[in-house]
Amino acid sequence: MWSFARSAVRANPASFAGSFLVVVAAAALLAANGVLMESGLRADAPMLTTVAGSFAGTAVLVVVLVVASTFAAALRRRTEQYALLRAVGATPAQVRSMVTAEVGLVFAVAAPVGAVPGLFAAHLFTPLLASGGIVPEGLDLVVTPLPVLGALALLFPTALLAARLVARSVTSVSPTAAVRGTAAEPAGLSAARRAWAVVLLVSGLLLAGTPFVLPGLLGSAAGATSAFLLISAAALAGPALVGAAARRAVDASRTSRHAATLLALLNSRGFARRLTTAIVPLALFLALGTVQTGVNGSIVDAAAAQLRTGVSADAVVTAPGSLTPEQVDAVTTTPGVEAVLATASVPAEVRTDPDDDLGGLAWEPSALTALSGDAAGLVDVGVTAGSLSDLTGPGTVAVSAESLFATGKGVGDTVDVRLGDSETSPTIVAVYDRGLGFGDYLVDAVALPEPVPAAALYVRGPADFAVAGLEVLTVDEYVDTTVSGAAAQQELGTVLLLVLIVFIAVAAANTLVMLTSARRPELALLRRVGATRRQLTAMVGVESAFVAGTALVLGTLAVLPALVGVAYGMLGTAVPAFDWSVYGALAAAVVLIATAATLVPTRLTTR
Amino acid sequence: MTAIDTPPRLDTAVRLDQLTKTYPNGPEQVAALRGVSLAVRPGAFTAIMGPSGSGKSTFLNVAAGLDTPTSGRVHIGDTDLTALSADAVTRFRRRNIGFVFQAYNLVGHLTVAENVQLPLLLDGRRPDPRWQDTLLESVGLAGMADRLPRELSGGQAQRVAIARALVTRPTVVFADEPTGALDRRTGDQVLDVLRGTAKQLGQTLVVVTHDPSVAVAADDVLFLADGLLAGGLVAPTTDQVVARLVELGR
Ligand SMILES: Nc1ncnc2c1ncn2[C@@H]1O[C@H](COP(=O)(O)OP(=O)(O)OP(=O)(O)O)[C@@H](O)[C@H]1O
Ligand SMILES: [Mg+2]
Repeated sequence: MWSFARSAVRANPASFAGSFLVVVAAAALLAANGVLMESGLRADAPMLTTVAGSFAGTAVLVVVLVVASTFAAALRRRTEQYALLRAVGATPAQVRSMVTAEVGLVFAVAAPVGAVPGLFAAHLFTPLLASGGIVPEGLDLVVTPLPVLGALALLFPTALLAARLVARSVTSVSPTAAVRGTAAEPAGLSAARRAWAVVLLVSGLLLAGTPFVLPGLLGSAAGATSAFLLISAAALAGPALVGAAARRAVDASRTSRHAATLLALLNSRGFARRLTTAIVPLALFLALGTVQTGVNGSIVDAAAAQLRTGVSADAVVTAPGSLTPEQVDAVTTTPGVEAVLATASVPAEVRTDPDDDLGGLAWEPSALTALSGDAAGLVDVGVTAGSLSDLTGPGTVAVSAESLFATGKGVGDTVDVRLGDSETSPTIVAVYDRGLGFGDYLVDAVALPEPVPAAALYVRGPADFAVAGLEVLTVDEYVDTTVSGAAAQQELGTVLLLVLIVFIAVAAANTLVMLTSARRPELALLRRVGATRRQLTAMVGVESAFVAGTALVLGTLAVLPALVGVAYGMLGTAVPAFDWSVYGALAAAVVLIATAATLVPTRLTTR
Repeated sequence: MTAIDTPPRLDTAVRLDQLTKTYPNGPEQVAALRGVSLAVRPGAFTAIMGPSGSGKSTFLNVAAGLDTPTSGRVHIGDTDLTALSADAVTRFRRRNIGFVFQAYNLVGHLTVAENVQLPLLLDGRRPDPRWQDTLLESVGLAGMADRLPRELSGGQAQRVAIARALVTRPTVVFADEPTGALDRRTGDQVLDVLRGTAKQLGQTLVVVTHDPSVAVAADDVLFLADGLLAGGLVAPTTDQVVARLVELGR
């Protein structure tokens, strides 16, 4: 079996090169992210664990989807060979193990080739981590073989599953039917596939509705995942949708004399499955980038909106770094100043799970916002229960409604907070809504074990400040600088997202190249029947426009419910939270990939 | 259908001058044709015979403009194919030449009717439904217009390929073992279609065949051996054809 597999790999270099490339990239990606996560856990850098962990969720979903679809595309083009083997006497079990052996071979070589450099590629993120304040300066990433093992453990079953699915579709028909049926695709979808598509569609739409029931970050995060479910539904129903669209287009253009267009539509009708494998990665590419930037943008906008409505100061005083106690005194004693509220943010950990079984995971990295001065009249955090005036001295805390979600806690209960080495359990005296703008936990500054310098002063009164080294901002200016600071904090997330998007783009282009070069016999036959090279190029051009157009429509439709939900949950509007510049750039990339990855191999194969 | 310019009647429909064709084969070269010259009268039915590997398919492909010769000239009517660009040859070919291939003839995801219309479609012309029906009927495929190739038998698929070769009313039709995969009865039927239509439209027909009974139906039989013409027979009998083949096979 292994010698068969080896010669199969040697005889079909193009088909295997594509899968090889994608497995290398996937293994590198997962291993690098694994290093970040492991370092976060071992070096006790909770922020790093959180960012890398939340990225891991998305990355695993995407990688599994992409690796599975790449192997499916690579193996499907060889259906003919498998059918022939069946015809000359291979049993279905033999064909299955042959397919498995081939996938195993590609995998055994490609995964280490990708994972080991991936371990070290994680170091490329170190400058970003330090500058974004995610890890302390000088922290070294921990490199162990664990991330490699994790990546393999995830990728191998995925690839095998894809191999099995293809092998099953080859072996479930009789060998002669398989030999003869290869030039065209089976029509229609199986009942199970239809049912799954409907289930995914419905659950995607329901999930997209969560922000309407559960506002805030949690609801939005859940809503954002709906895009993946909808893309998966499209992947399952794709052949039927694409086929129906192409049939309609064929009928409409029967009278057209433009051979290339009509041929392209006839091809799309005949190879709806093939086109779906090309369309889905492109739609995923558009959807992932749009949904993540849309959600991030909404969070930042929502935080800004909360600050803007919540702060009613005449001026906000800040300094590069933080304010010294002398500067705070100077501001407070400036004539004309009626009230001053000093705020500072202190990193802390909050216990999210009463069990200690989870070890480090029961404590979540967060931040306390320390207030000192007159909160009343200067800030309105949207208190829904209790009162901020009870927030005095140690043992009291005000908590955002969101961070209490599903804990069943309220005013009078306690939360466990860890500041450095000291652990306390302050009592909740108020619950409020504007957690995005003001932070999830408010404490009285005197409650902190040691004084913390103020980061900003909210000031009421018609005063002129002539204190050296201070910046005096209006509330709007202050909100703008805070927001751009928050965006910088998201930088690591953005870079990781970019890496993931590039990975999808490579995989999508690779699938298109594989599918196009597999069409050599078909293109050669058309040439013999009388198609010029120009006509074939035009035909493939129309097809790639069809692919790009469908990918754009599908990708947009898949993110629309999520972005409407997120916009509602975060901002209270129903205008979908598109980041139009990102959307435009991704859409242009989709068109570029679809065109280049089909036309170049077409020109090469028809030469 | 709109009138197609019929090339002026000449005394040769196909003229080949000193055709050679070599294929690179690693460091070696395979000489598939080693200087073949030939002139075919308009309206004639010529059969080409010879042992396997003697260069018959190569000869037909080069003569029909599907492949370029290594040296020599190919004229179809008064058009010198060897002087035209690749795309110009393609355009000329799909208007004036019909071709039935030895294998892999049909586009798998197109219906029978769409396969037949393909050359017209590529030429930006509208198919004439009456002519298409006539053709499908005469090759015995009436009522199968909407089937896919995988739903046809081998012989039926080959007859679709013949209908496609004739749909443009070409002046010359080349066929590479059109009856090779068929039983005697179907083979005869297919050949009758080819010959009948050719007579009716005044087409020149060049057929490569292994089957002596096809060859005896031809006006002329030419023999190829090792890439060279090895004589010919005019209106031969089966015995004469078989005798020559046996001789060449030795
Ligand atoms: N693409 C190619 N590359 C190299 N050699 C080739 C190629 N095509 C044909 N040949 C060689 O050229 C010679 C003539 O081949 P051709 O296909 O013309 O034979 P044929 O007479 O049609 O045979 P058959 O009756 O078996 O179809 C053979 O020796 C063959 O091996
Ligand atoms: Mg041959």
